[in-house]
Amino acid sequence: MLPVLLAVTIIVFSIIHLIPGDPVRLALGEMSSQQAYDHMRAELGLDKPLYIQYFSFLWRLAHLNLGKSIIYREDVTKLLAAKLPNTLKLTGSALILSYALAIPLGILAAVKRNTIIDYLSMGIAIAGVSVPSFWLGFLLISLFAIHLHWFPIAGYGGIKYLVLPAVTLGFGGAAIVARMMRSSMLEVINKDYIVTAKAKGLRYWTVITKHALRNALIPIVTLLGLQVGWLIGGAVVIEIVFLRPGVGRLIVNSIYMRDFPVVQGVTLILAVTVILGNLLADILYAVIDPKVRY
Amino acid sequence: MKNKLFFNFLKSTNAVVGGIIIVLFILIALFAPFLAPKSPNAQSLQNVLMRPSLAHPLGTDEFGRSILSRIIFGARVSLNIALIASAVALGIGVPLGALAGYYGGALDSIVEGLVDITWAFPTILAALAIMFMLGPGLHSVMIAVGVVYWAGYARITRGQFIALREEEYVQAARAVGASNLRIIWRHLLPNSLAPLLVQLSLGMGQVILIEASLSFLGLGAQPPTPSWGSMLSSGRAYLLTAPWLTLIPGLAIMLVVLGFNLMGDGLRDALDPRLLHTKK
Repeated sequence: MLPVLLAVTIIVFSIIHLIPGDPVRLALGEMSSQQAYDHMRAELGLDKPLYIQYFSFLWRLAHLNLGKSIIYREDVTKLLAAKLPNTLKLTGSALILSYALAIPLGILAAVKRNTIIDYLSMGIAIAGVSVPSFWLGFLLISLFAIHLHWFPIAGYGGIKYLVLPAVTLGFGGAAIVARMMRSSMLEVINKDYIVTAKAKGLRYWTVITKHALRNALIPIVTLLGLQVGWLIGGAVVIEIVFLRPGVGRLIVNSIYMRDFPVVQGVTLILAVTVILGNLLADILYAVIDPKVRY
Repeated sequence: MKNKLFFNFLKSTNAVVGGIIIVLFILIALFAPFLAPKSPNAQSLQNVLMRPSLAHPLGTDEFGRSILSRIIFGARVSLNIALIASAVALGIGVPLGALAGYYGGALDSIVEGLVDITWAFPTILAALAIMFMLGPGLHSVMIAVGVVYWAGYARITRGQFIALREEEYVQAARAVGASNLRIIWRHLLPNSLAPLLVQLSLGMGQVILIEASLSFLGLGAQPPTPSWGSMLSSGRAYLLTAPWLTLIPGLAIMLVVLGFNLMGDGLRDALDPRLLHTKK
């Protein structure tokens, strides 16, 4: 994990140096004065040799200092501290929703294989991985906010502001998990120990929930790591659709405004979140599968 | 073997439906100038935000442009991007995965490390960061998405090469003095194509979704290019008054991505005898 983290810091550090042209001129505009130009170069540390810039970047990171936003004139850490909880709230709810929906759906599809229930749930699942999330967001806004007035159209506030964005984001995630859950369950229910459990007279659903489910869940837990990355990426777009003040909107605005420190800060923090999500999935994997012990 | 694969593919309803959808969209993209009733950028201020009707089959947008024409030409944009970005991803991923899988050792560790690093960044975020460096536009999207998706192809190629490199026919080729390059190119690569094809089909759908997202964020196709993502983006201002502006491009994206996903699923089933067996 550490080498990956270190490599991520190198990539994020390089963003500013890989932009064609002078990043300071791009940020300030061609008409800026030499004084303002020199000031920003010094502020961003661009007047020093590359390796010193990188080590001072790492040093600042170690002190949770991600630099200062060019546009907002605020510490990037402060901006992130204000926005990241909103994004995590959205991704967390979407994650819970997607698993809560997908696991029973996947089990049901596997158990009722080749029936209308299977075809219907897998049809919904494949549509779920094919639908652009932002479009689904608009459809849900149209139906539940504009026509039925059940939820607000957009914005940020209590739980009612969270429902539509979380459902939008969670739907795609649920589709992936449900498909995986179905194939994993199908694989498990054909195993000998399941046949034995059935043969010794256990009730069908006891066999499914007590014997099959635990083993079928293993790949689903591995998927959790990937899901974290997928949902965080998806949140960037969903925050724009629902006008939620999270890091997704922050990074998109910062890209438009050429605000390098913010782009670097958001990219870094989201990559670290994904790495931590993967680590969590690995730990859960060891907990759920006794064959794996680190 | 190939005939059996094709037969299995045809047996899968999903695969056939997916294949038909894709072929249909390819034909639409190829014959766009003949199929579109008007130029996709022809404005008509007398016909702004017209509902779908006989005169305007899918309605018109805020500039009076024909939505049908823009959808038809938008198929070109989406399929072009899917093709080129996937070619970039394959071009990076397959050689790296092949070298890692064939030679193993330090090279393998380096490629595996690069894959892990790439996957540490959420796809859209990585694409956004690359777009930030390259600037907005369709060419940037192609490069950004290609660079983001290489890792999946590398993993699959590596896995296939590891599984195949000790096979008897590879050892036989080695014994008769075939060079490493020849073994990779003539023996291992052709035998690794099937899972790559599945990944390509599923990946192309993903590429179209990412392009749509980037264009929706205003970083992909720039006006007046008829991209489905940017049509959706500009249509959202009229969600209340002209919902077809968002409904139709979204349906087009969903349909083509669904086509690629169904085809990918069907191919995977056709290639995996176990899956065919369990479905019976």
